[in-house]
Amino acid sequence: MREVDIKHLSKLANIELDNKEEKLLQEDLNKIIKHIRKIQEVEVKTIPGTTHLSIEKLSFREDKKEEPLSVKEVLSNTQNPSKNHFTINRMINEDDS
Amino acid sequence: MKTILEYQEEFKEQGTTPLNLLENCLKNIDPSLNAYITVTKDLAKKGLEKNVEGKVKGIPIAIKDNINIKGVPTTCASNVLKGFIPTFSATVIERIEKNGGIFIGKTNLDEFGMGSSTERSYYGPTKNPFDLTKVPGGSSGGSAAAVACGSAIISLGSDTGGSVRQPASYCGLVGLKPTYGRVSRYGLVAFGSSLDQIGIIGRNAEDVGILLEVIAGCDPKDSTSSSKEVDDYSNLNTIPKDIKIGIPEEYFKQIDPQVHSLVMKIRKALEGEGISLKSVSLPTTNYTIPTYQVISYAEASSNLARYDGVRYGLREEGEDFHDTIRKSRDEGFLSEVKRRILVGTFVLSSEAIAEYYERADLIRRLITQEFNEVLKEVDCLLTPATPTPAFPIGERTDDPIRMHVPDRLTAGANLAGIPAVVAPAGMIGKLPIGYQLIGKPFDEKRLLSIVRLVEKIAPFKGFLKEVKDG
Repeated sequence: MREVDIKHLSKLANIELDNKEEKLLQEDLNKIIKHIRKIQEVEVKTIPGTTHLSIEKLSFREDKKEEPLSVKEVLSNTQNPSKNHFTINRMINEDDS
Repeated sequence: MKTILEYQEEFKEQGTTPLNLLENCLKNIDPSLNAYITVTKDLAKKGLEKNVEGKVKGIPIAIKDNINIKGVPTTCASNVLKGFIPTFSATVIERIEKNGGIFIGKTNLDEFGMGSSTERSYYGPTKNPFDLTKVPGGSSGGSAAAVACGSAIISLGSDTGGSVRQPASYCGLVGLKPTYGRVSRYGLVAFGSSLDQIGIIGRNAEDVGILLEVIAGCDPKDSTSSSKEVDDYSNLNTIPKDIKIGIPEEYFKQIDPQVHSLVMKIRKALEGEGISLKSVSLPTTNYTIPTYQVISYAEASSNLARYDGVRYGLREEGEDFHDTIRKSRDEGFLSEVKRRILVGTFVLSSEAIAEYYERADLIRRLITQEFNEVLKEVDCLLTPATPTPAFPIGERTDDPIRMHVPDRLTAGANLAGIPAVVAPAGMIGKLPIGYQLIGKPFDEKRLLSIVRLVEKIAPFKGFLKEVKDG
């Protein structure tokens, strides 16, 4: 079994880890993956997959216009709102423009 | 211990008022248990002032803190949701409000529902009311402890792999995970969307049936909710005749002998009522935990990608956009959630998806088929709810594999989307332990009827004596 590349995974999962945490989680991940490898024992060639769990047809709501949240409500939980916007760090540097 | 109907009779006869009951429940809140993240006393009082008639009129209900109540913080026991106040209520909350129920508080959980002990909470561990050195189970440990100590008459939890049933077993209560789709998930914070189901923890089958009648039913806001008619789940006095119950032998392996013998006592009591019980086999039980881990971790890694610190929750400023997201998530999540996100990301990655996620998806079908086949022969299954009674706080926190051990008996019902209920089988020392019934899709009424029958023929005497009961 190959070792999990935790640096690559943490980048994919968008989680920054310090060195100590990285070491601990690396050990845990190897243990967990060794454990879940047990599913390789099962013969699965003839089984159709599961696409959804609902026993019946999915129900959809009527396609009619509903009252949306106000801008104030939408922005009520962001830490640093500006007028009518969420704010994020600058994506394009001035040098790039 | 009074039932919801008995309280409502008293309200009519002016014996106890709903305000008296609420005040008693508030007095029973024991800070040393740490069952609540937020106590919503004012909201409960405002609810009483509205004087809404309905099936749960005046009943104080505790809500797991991953179900939204508009205007009350939802934390999911995570720092990542710091300061988050939902702008809408879950459908289950609206339905309870329309039926006169009141909310006493938001209960503690393992962060985002990921755990079996309620120790992995940003707000500290919840303790078992029967023994403060033991865990209450999890992840709905706060909801179970709240009911067991008499601070709520009934509560809502969520069950992804056993998170309602395992704490019910450890706290001497009835815990129901309904069929997938029976109860709307709108407003429940997602962990594993194909496994999650809102469940109920109460003191008896009838109370659980009453609350299920209130919250069940189709919801246009959750396309996976079922349009199947809602049964009269609280009418549990007639047991359908000619019931057959299966005993799956795999569920009795590697369990505490005392748990085994208590479940066998339930078996004998049922046989004494003329119910036939027979051995059945579910050979894929050995693969329940790894299959559950792969699917739930994969879904968690996808569902939790939304916590980026931009629109809501904790934000730690970084050097650039991606750095801000990474820092916010690092600061926001505890290590178990990070572990599951990382493993979930691995099993969904292009190099591993066929070997892990797709394979687990196929095994899930196999597990479901096995349940369906066995449930053609029998009406439901009787099993232990957990392999042991509640374990000591701190015993399993460093062992990500051992923490999943109790899930072996409960996660199968989530993988197959079928209903299951846990109810008290008796006491081992001073700790309660439960039995479990697993049933056919939408057969909640039958399961609750059998629990009701057991309550009559083998009543549980382990309720905490020191709880002042309204």
